Amino acid sequence: MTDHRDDLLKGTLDLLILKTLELKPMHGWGIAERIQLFSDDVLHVPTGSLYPALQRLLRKGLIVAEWRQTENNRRARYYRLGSTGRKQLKVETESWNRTSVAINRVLHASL
Amino acid sequence: MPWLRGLIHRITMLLGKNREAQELDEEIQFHLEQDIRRNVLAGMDEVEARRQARLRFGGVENIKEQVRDETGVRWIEDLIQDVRLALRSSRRTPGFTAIAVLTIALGVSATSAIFSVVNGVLLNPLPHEDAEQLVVLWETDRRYSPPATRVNVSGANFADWRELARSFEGIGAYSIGTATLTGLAEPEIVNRAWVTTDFLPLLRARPVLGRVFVVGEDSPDGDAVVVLSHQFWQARFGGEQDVIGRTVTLNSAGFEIVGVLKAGVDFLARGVQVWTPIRLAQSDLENRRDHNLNVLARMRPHVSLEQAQVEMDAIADRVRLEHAEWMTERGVNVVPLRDELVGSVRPTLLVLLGGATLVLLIATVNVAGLLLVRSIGRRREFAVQSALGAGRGRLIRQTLTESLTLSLMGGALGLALATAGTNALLALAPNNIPRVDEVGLDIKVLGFAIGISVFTGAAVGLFCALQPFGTSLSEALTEGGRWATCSSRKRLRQALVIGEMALSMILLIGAGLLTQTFWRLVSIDPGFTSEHILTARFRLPQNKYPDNARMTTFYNQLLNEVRAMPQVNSAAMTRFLPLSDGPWTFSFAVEGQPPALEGEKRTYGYHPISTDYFRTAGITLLHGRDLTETDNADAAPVLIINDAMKRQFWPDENPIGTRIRFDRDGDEGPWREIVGIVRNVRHHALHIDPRPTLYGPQSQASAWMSDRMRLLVRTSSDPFQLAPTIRNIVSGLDPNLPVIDVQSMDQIVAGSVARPRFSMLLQLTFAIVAGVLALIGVYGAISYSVRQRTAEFGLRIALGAPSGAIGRLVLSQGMALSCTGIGIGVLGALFSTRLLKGLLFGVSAADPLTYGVLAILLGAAAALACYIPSRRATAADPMVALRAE
Repeated sequence: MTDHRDDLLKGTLDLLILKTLELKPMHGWGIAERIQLFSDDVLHVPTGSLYPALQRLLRKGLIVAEWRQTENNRRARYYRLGSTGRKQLKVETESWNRTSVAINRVLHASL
Repeated sequence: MPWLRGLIHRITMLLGKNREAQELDEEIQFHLEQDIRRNVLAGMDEVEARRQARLRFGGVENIKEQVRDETGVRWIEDLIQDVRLALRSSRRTPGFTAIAVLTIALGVSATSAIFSVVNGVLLNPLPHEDAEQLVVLWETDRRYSPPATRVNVSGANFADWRELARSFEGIGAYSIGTATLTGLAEPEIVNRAWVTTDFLPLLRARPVLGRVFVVGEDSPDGDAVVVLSHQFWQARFGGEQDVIGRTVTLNSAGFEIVGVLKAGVDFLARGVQVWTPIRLAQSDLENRRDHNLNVLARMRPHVSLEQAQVEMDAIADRVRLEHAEWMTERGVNVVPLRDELVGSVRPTLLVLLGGATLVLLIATVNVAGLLLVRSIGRRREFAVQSALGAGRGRLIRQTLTESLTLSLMGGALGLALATAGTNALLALAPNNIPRVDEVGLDIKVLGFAIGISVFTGAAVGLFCALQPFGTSLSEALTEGGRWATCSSRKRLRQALVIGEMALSMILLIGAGLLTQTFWRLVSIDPGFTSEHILTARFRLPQNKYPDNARMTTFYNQLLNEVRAMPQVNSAAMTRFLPLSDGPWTFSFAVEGQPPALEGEKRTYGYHPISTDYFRTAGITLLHGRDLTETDNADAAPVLIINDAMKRQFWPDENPIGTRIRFDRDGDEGPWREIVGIVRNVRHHALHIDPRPTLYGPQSQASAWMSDRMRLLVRTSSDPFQLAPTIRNIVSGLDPNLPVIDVQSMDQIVAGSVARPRFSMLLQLTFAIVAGVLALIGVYGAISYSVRQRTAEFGLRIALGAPSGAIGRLVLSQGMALSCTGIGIGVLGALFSTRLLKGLLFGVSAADPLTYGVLAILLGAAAALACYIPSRRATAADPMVALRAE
């Protein structure tokens, strides 16, 4: 019963999902796979974090869900970015960039 | 608008709960299949691929739960679940539920019923535009002790105020009474108001038909015009449009209808049906001697009551300087119209509301005690829930939901009881409570009932929920029931018992004081006997009975015929009936003595009567003689005085033979000889000491004193059997004369103590309910602790403790709690019964006897409540007790 929601990942996971969906609408499994792929197998998204995060983004109206056929003719729930999601992604990307630059500066600081 | 989107999302989630769950299942299924497919592609066999996918995915149920948490509808679902749980658990323990719901219902119904009366009588706005600007002006008179604060206004004062006062938009005079209406159907008595022409505009009373009065119509030569109330117009004229210009006959004089008022216009809740101009002559407006006007004023906007009072004080000082001979000791009292109407019942109603609130509090405490005990029994259930992952907040919420469910059920039942209770209350209420017909169940009462139910439930629930859950989970699961001996819980239960006892002690003492007041009132000797007396009232119209001689003839004929009836022992007429209406207060001059100074005026009440009055009313003649038939208009004027008058003015002499006369400008009348002395009668009210009083033959009084006499008939059986015959006799003498206010003297006496009786009955009911609830609380707490300690007691007995000692131990513990409660209650009563002061008579708010007796009584009852469980403790069988663990 570990609670993934309170990880540092909570905000970052949302950002990663938004970014993934910006490229292409995708189902839950695909999102997890892609994040893993893009991160060169560094970031593994646990399902226990993924689906709650998708629900959260749906509630906030950042993403939209719809049922579609996959390439293999299988029914799956696809998520795509809404217009507010697009804006939010921009905002959060900038904020992330600022933060990571800042953190890097701190980490590489020397006397 | 993100919140709106969130809201819509939540609603769809809540409504499509099942569909959403299915979709999630499908989504998870898809996810797993994708993983399996990838694993198979990577070379795993089917079974291994499936196993790995499941491992990677994690706990399906757990994830579903977390997704639901993110939907934002979790709390609503929990609430529904909690309510369902609460209802289920209340079905499981029907006894407990019934007791808790009933207890709350009792408290809610008592409080709501009283509140509905308070709401209708005290809180609902008066039916006038900007009613808070309306005030009534009275004169005050400091010569009385206590000073009189509501004295009618003299015409000259009224004129002065009208001219000088700046605080008011206008000042009008009124008088409310009755008139005999003839010519429409049966002669009937209607409620009539006499008003100055500016009065209706001050009330903002507008006509729906015709007009209101115009300037000049309130002078003696004004036209005889009348304005009808809407209700009277509907009832008597069927709402016809052409009533304007028609004539109605009031007291045998014709009045032209000039207008009909809007619906709902009334004044002081008197049900005024016809409005006529008051006739004020110039001489009336210069008269400072006779105080006979009622005055209404409307304060200008932004003028406060205090400002108006200050200005009127200044005006009174000024008038006093100019007219020292009349104005000594007189002032002005500015009274808000609302206080004028309901001020006298406010203390009674508020004290009753206080009593009902205490009952509600005790009920709340009682239910808290019940729930507390139950929650101890349910500790294992909570421990299991908490082991299954329910957070502390979740458990608190569940307790709260349970208590709120209970209290809302109780509130609903209480509201139903309150509607019945309010009707019973109104049936019981004295009929002199103003606006009582406005009492009813409205949105405010409903809100109040729901509010106090929720409050009760929340208080009880929070109280129980916030208890320390104390020991650890494993202990709770293994240790069983003994946890209840945990000391903080025990202290809490004890505090509840003490609180209940204290509250019910306060209520009991309040009820005890009111009961004593009532008994002291009714055991007062009023100076007359009320049994077997029938009374009725007439009003002789002026044009048919223009002088005293004609009125005397009518009364004599009436008395002769009534006295001839076989069942009648005696019959008489009087202008004023004891405990009903006050006599006129005049001052008098004694023959051969200088006139009294203003400050030491010799005042007395004056009653015109017929022969046989004292015998009929049962008033004993102490000295001298009674009136006889020969004391008529032609004979030398005579008077009979009461004992109080003799003691005040002739303490050491015999006044019989002394001659006195009215001390009234231009209306002194002849010298009248005192021929007898009668016993004192408590005329004004049972609790007011008799005042100096004069009785004189009606035949020797002025005409204006004689037109409204009351008939008094003493019989040996049920007085009401006489009523039809008396009506026949009257209509035989004058077919246009209505007989009104037919009532027995017993009714009048009962009516005069109706209000204290009402307070006493209700407060007693509350006290008894409260006492019973508190005793149940004590009993419950002690039995519970006995049950908890059965093992201990069994062990003690096994080790040789005498069973009597065990019983005494339990009893003494229970009594220690009860006595602490009673002690606190006595202190609380000393403090809070001061609020009762205005309602008490003949007993002090700190009466030691009442306090002592009731404390002992409650203590004895508590001892009984503790004794029963203590017997059970004594009977503890060591073997059974030990095996139970």
